[in-house]
Amino acid sequence: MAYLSVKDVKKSFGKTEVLKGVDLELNKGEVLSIIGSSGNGKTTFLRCLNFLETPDSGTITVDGEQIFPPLSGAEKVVNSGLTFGMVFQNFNLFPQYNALENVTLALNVRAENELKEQKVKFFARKKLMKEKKKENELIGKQILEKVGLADKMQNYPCELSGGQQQRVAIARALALKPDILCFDEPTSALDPELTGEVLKVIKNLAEDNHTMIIVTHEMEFAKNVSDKVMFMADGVVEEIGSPDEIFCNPKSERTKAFLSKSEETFSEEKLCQC
Amino acid sequence: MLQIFVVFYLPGLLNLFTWPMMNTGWKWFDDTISTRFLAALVAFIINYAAYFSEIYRGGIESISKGQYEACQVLGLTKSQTFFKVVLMQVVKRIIPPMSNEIITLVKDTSLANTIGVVELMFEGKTFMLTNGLIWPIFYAGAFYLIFVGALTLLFNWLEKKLSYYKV
Repeated sequence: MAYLSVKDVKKSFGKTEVLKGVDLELNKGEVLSIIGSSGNGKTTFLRCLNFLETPDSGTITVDGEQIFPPLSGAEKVVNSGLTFGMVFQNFNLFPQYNALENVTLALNVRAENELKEQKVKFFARKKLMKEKKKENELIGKQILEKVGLADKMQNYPCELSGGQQQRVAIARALALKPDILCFDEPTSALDPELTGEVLKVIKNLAEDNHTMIIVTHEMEFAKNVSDKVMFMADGVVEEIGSPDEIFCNPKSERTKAFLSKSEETFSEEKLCQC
Repeated sequence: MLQIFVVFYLPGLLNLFTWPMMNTGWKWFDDTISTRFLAALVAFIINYAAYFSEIYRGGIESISKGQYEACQVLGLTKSQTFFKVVLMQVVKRIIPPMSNEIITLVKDTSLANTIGVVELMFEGKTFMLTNGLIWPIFYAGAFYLIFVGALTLLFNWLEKKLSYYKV
């Protein structure tokens, strides 16, 4: 039984049908890259997983538990935000908080919500939160160290470079220990040099057996890091398979056309050394 | 100014509020000083509430959708999103237009003069006329300058305080 299974997810905006039934199975610890040209529904698919968009139809199951359509009211949909972590193309860090606060904010909020659920009184809650905040700070520091930002903890996002900002965003997503981490074109707003440092972090995460879904235009990276590659075209999964299968002998014509084009424009060295 | 006129004179012109109270001799905005002041107050409050709410609306709408999405993914509720993330950014954005508006308000108080509220300009004018001196009106002007200057300094300080991050 696959860890994440998505069946026949459809989504349309007005009259344009963006996703025309996407199926996907992913095991725990696997890294999936989604490639394809722009406007083919890659990002929309990722947003559907995160419930930033609500799919029109289809089911999403994580770890045997159906999270969409929700089994018990709207509550499930809100909670599922913690099953998925999301890293955005344009970072979306909170500008008024420094790097460390950005990471710990969600932890603190979650701790406070838990206390509220236990019906702890206001003053007692504030007192407990002080301790919790200290714990969370430690966790936040550890995570920031992991993404290589030990010396930038007190800096505000506007003082960080794009790559550092994106790494903070990754740390922020990691802090909640999501089951599945989604990257929505994490490097397309960065120059090649900064791209490298972000990709290195993602690669490290892949080695730590995080389950990840990465929408990317970095073919080489997709090939190196992922266990599965999915090529999307026109809102359907055109082809899915291991990196070798997709990059070396793609079966579908469209995949071939796409890959040869991206090889022409992007890389001097061939993606496939066969 | 027109709004102040309307608030002050219209009820009387329309006889809306006055006629039920004719017999008691009580009117809404009759001729005493305090009711003139009340009329000016009402006019300013309505006018500036409209301006300010527009500034707030602009500020809140200018926050990018991505911030809300990031919060949603992190599992924040709507109120938490607003108070912990959005509000501070809004405050930073609305301080410059708000300081403009407040300074204009200080200067606009002189408009209450037109319906005979005893305010700074009114006082200056009477002083000038009764004593035959021109200086009191300049003093009134200087007072406006000092008041506005102090407000400018205050808001500059606030802006600087919040400039540790960029939105």
